[in-house]
Amino acid sequence: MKHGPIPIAIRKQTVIFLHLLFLCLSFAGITFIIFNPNYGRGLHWLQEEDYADTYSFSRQLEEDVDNVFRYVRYKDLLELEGEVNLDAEMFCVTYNSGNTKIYTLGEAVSYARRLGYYLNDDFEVTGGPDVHEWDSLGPSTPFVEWKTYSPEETYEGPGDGFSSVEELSVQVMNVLGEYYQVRYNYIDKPSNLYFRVSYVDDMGNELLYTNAGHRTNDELRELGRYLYMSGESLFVDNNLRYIPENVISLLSTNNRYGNQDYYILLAVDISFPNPDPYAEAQADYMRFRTEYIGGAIMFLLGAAGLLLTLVRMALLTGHVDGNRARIVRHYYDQLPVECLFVLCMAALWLEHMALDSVIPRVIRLFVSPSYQDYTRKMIRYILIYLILLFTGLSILRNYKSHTLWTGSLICRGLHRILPALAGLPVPLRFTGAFIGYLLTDASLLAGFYFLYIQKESLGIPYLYLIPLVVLAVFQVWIFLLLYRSRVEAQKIAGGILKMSAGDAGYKIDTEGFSEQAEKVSQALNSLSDGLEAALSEQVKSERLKADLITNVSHDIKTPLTSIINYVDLLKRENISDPKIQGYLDVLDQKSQRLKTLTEDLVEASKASSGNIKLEISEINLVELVQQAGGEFEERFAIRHLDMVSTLPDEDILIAADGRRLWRVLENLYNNAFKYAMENSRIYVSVEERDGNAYFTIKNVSASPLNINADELTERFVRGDVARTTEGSGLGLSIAKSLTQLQGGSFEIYIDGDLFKVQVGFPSQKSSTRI
Amino acid sequence: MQTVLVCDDDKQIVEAIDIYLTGEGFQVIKAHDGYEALELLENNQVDLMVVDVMMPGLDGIRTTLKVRETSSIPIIILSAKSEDNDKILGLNIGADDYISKPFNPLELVARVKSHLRRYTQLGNLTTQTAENVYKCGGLQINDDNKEVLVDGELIRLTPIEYNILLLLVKNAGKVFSIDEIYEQIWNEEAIGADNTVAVHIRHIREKIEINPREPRYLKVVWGVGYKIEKQ
Repeated sequence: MKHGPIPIAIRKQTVIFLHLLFLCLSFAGITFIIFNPNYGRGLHWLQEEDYADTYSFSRQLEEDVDNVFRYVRYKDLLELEGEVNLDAEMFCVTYNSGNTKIYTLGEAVSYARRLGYYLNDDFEVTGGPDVHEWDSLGPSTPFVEWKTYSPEETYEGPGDGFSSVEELSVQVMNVLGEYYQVRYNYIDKPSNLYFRVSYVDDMGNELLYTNAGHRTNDELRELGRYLYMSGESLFVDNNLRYIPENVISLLSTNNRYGNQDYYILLAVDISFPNPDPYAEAQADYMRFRTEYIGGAIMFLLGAAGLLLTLVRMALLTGHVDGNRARIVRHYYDQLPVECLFVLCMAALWLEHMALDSVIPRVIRLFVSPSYQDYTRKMIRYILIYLILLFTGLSILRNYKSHTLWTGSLICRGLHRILPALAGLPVPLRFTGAFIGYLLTDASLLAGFYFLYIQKESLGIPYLYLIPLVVLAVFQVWIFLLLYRSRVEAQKIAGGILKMSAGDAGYKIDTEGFSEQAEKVSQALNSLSDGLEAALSEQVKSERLKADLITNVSHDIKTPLTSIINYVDLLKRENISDPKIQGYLDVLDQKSQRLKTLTEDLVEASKASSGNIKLEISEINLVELVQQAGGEFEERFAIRHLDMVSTLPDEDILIAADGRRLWRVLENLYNNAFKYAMENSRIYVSVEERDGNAYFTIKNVSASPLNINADELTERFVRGDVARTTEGSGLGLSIAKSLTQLQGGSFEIYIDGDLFKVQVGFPSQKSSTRI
Repeated sequence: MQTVLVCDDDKQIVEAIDIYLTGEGFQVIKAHDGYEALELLENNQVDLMVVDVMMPGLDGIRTTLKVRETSSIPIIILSAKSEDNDKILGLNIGADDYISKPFNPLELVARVKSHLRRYTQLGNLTTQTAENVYKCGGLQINDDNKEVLVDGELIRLTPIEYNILLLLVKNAGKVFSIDEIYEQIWNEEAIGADNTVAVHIRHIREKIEINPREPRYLKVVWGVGYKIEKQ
């Protein structure tokens, strides 16, 4: 778009002017087309057709065929050696008196002329006596014996054969006129039609009627269109589009010999060199053609121009120089859009009224009758178009300035009503909406019924369909609303389920959501954001904690090494003082405990944060428990603990990391070793139940277990009494974390002094021992 | 007299190790970082090196790599890092052993001795291949006179322990489950077998391993069985 120095106002005026110009142009084009005789035949004729192919050409030819055969009929009667024979006998009558008289051509013509008949320029009989002499059928109506010009005429009823001489003379004059007409038009004057009719009798005498002179038949065919037909053939040799229908019968009825030896050749010179009806018709045809093409071009140009200027107008309307975003509305644009519609309807109604009353009278003053109806229609269409254009542009300006909806009465009304409705409780609002829906449906149906009943009196066809269409659109709209709300609910519910299932980062796709659903979804999305951030923060801090513990323990280990080593060195110095030896023992014990503690601390933090690489493989739980038993049996013996194992005969396979699971069992056995009452039994069992493999260890605690089972696996928690003994207090916690990391379950049961731990894993399969 | 180079940035630890090793009759050369250790290695006849990982300057890993360019003496890495990854890294770059801090001084001494024995004495014995002699690293079993030697030292085993060990050494690398071992040694079906085999295995480990909790030869494949590591 060019923002040149031309002001928008001028551009607008130019566009409007051009628009009107194109409107006139296209209507002019339509006028040309509609009043063309070829209107309604489409466009293909422009390309495919010649005048010689038209129906009017063929009608002319048919007329000429009639004329030609008239000539054929009368030539021999009226003509003698190329001249009109006035002595040729025309008819014979017998008067009541009994006298018979034969009238010649000359006598008949002079009789008629005496009565005032004559031939005009077109060889038609005109004039006549002022007063007819039809007194009676008396002496002036003799009996007709014969007519040479109409030999086949017969008389059947009484009175048929009587005719006045005046009448007969006029008939003769008519015949003469027809003869002259053919002779003048086709023979004396050069014509574009050439004919040659030939009848040959059995003796070989030829009767030839022609205006072609010496031209041969082939030469005649060369002239353009021709028709050749002989008595010997059933086919008509021609290059015409339509064959004149009369030629066949006329050719045979005019055959005086009754044989097959005759032919007719008609030819039309399609360069039309001679002025005759063909030449005139051809000229007219060419003119119509030009007009039609011109009209079509005008119409197309006009329509294209209309469209272009319309688009241009739509783009320009409302804008002013300077601020591109500013939209200027005319005073009538500021009316609500409903008022605009009403105004538009009123204008259309006025136009309708004016076209029914005033305008036709004005038209009659200026326009010839045949064009009046068309002019009325034209004016009507132009007026309707202008009214709609005006309305459309006004709506467009409102649309551009975003006041179409906000300025409408419906919107203003809703703004009054909605806040009041929003205060109502949800069930009431929903019920109200549903009742509104029902009422709308009912009123639309009622409107349809009313209009349908009244359709005759309203006069506008199919008006009753409008409420039906509105009803259908309304149902679709309601369906779409419900559908969208259902989809939204589904999506939101799905999002909540996903989030609660652990996909903290899940986001609801709010595309196409309604305002309210989008609000809810966004709230959920920000919740998920927070959750995700919190989770990742937690993971991060767990890892940081594990790293910190690992690093700190590394730093502790170096000095601890020295402590342990030097305590050991001290112990090797043969110190006899039992007090110092006692101190050394404490140092030794505590430094060893510190060592265990640092190692367990690292392991516990790693296990609980999941920061461990597992090597899961298929292992045999029974084998593992046997191996563990072997490791501990003798240690248990130190505290006089008896291990009672209940192991199944078959292997029980589970998926786990063997080394880590050994660590679990080691911690559990160690726990039993440390806290079981001396001289008691420790029960160890492995069993398979409901697709799970369970390892259970039970012992009786040496000191009362005044603690919750859950608390036991909390880090650093031990039974109070146990606090002074060796151990980090992390054993059970590590065991539990490691078990859970490998996908197993870890349960502690406390019943009085009975301490029981059950470790469960899903069993892979069990194979009976061979 | 054999010479051990001890390298750690913590002087007290070096001192303590010095005391233990000197007490066992070794000559000890002390270094406190990697460069010093490399320099001492060049100028002295060193039979074994104990090196710390986390040291300023050249750390233990890079020191080990440097040493391995020219020498094949036993190297024992000593480190506060006790994770599997660290151990695997140390052993992969050419160290012979990995002891994590805080360590048992006696264990350290035992390992030093063991490595030195293998390096100096057994290194030459590889040509002596008699029949019915099975070797696996420093572990050697002579089935003719039923003798078991670890790093050249005679180990006393009970007949059952001996048979179990022989079975595992003969099939070094293969994992035997408790039941398989039981059936091979006792020649009867293992039904309701108790902890016997596991206890025997533990006894063997205590006899042939320096640290039974971190065995070099007789490994426990938890939940599967036992095997002798193929060396």
